[in-house]
Amino acid sequence: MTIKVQREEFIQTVNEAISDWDKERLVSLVMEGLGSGFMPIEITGQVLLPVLQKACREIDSHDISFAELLLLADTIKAALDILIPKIRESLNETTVKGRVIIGTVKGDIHELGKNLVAAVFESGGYRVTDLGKDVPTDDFIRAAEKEKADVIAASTLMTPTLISIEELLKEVRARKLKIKTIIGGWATSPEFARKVGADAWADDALDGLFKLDRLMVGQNHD
Amino acid sequence: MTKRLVSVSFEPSGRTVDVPAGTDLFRLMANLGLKHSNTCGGKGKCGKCKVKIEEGFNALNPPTETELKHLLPEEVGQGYRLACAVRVPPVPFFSVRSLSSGPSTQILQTEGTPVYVLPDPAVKKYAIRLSQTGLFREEHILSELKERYGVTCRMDYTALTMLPAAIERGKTSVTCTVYCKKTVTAIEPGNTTGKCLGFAVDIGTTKLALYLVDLNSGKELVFSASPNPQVLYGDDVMSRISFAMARKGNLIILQKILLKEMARLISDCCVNAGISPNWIYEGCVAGNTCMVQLFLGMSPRNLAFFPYNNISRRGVTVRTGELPVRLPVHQAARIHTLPLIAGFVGADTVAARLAVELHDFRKPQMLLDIGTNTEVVLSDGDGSIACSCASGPAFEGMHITHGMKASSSSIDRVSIDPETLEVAYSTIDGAKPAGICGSGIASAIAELVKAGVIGLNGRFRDDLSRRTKRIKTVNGKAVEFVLAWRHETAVDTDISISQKDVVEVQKAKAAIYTGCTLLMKQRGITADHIESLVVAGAFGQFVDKESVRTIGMFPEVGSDRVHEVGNAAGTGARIALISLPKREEAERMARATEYYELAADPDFTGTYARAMLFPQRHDRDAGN
Repeated sequence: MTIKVQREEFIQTVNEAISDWDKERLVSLVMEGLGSGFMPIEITGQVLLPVLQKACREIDSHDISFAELLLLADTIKAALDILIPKIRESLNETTVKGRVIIGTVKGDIHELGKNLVAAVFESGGYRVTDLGKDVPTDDFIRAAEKEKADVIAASTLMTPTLISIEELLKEVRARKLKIKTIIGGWATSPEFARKVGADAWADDALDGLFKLDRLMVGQNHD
Repeated sequence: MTKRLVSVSFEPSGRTVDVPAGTDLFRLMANLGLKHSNTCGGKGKCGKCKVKIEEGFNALNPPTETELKHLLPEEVGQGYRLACAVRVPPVPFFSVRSLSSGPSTQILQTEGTPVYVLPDPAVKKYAIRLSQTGLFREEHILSELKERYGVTCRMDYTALTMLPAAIERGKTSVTCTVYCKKTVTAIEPGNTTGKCLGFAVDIGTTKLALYLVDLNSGKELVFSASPNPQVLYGDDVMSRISFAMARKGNLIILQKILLKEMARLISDCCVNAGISPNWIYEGCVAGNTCMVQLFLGMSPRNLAFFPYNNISRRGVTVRTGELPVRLPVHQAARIHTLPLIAGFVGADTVAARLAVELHDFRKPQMLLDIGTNTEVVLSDGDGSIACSCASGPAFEGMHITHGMKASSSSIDRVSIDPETLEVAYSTIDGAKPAGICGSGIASAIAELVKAGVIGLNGRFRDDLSRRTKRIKTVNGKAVEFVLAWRHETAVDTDISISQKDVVEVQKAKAAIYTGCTLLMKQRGITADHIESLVVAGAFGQFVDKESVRTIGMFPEVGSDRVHEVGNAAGTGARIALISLPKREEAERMARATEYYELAADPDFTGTYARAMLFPQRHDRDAGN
């Protein structure tokens, strides 16, 4: 009973810190939570990601503004930055869900969304190698081979750099890599994903995690 | 295998063409010059190229996911589709109704400010009296130019070919056109020194403004303006770049359509001024980097990929004969494009900067050129630093539900009574409203914030909907605010501001505010240090300062230090046209201005996210 109360109280206060965009308080709450026995993956999976998921739904129904989503994501990111290294440590060969190479493609340096996606993937139990922004096709391929990755996740915000995604996917096919691909970012669309032969397309970070889970069990486009 | 020809007719014009089945409807309409108000260049992102298929609908493939996202469920059954997703089906007849027809007349921003520059143009004409002695004529003319006018130059091939006829018809005198004090480019019979004209043009992503100028006096004779015809291939620079890269031949399409429109504008000006186009010897071009490259026929591929390197940053001089479309100017005319600063800070910014005099170099001055891309230049004693903000076209009335360009019957001012939430508005020409223009949007949103209808986070407050019918709700949530009821308008629908519109404005103003803030941070100064904030672009000219303050678009600089200058880029192009020294100054300035890449600043996201909120009132009153 007390544990349950404690948990609810914890979730409540964390939620308050997030809605106040109070990074410092959120970070200290998370540290406290870890101290009192919460598992990192519990905090992300049961507290942080549900808030983000709710926010993503609410942006569509105009229950929160775009600015609020951005600030909220920025706040949550601060907590994820602490939790992710711990999650990474706790994952071993049997518990890790899969290995993902992620990056913003060559010619584009917008990585705000990609960073959040990477954080969400990691908190979802994946081992993520983030190659950053303006990543050439070769770097994706090399990293994927080195890490024996299951999935390459590529993103772009700008329309002209869709070409770089196309090039990357061509290369993955040309090399007959046994690797799944998922793409996202403002410039992309489900039609584009199909056209260039990506295995999946994601609308946002949580949709990405959902699609990633499905890719791992062999389901491509819905 | 020949593809079956389909007779495609377009309503309401009734225009009919025969095309092979499988033709892309979006491109077809673009090629025919049928305007659809797309903003994404046919990529299925904006949903603005909606058409109604009146015949042949059943032969089409089912709507794509993207189409379904942009179409209402009831529209799908009635034959509504997005032109960019439709290929002409193999049926004998196919009929399409275009749904978006833009307003016909536009108030374009072309009011230049008076320029006080001593004319010293690149093109000068000198009359030479011919001697009757039998010397070589070319040498005689060149030595006369040197002795009488102090100009040492040579004669180019074109001028030489004009010489025999000029001597024969001119008998006692000829007139030499000298370019940049170096080259005789043309020779005419008699004394024609009084007829020496040039044009200056500002090629905007959305509109073109062209001025015909007397090079002797430096006076503007007439101007003409029109929308940039490349809009058919995408509303913003990025979608034009994508189009130019998509297929071989697209680049020349963009260049030619632009040159043809320029040719039309020059002709217009000549007719209005009653002057022959043959007296036009030079043109001076300002525009963003992409527009300048498209004008020159240079692929904008370099602008598609970070780090957006410039191919060349110097000003370029071309002979009109080298362009793929003949412009109505003198055959020896040159066109000069102003220098560029960076991939996204172009000749328009250089021109704007040229037009804005710095009175005191020691005090920081900030120049903002508001457009689809907003450029910011911060100058002080140590030089200049510039950035480009992706403000988007919200303040040009685009991406806004009831947005329109600043033209007849657009709402330009709004006031809302904070007690009753009743609305008073005005339209540009007093006509019944058909939509809201950029300044109207800023004004409406500022009033909604002041009246508390929108919170500082940009969200509509739900609890006010009981107080007024103007707040429309869906499931108890406020989603829009009606400015003008259907019976008051010219468009048979309520004109309102939606939640989405507020977000668009928040994004636009946050982009501008963030650019200014990060540049100031780079220089280690705050808004208090800014001696003057110069706002160029049509938006700045028409909007009231109070609205801009309320929504928090600029740094918190006192109203007395904010100045609006209208189309500074156009003014700068005219200055560079009539003054060679100023043109050289532009060249130096472009080199001395440092470019700052906002997207690479680690503080960008945080600053941008916070800038999206509307500022607290007491902050504004305190002026900090």
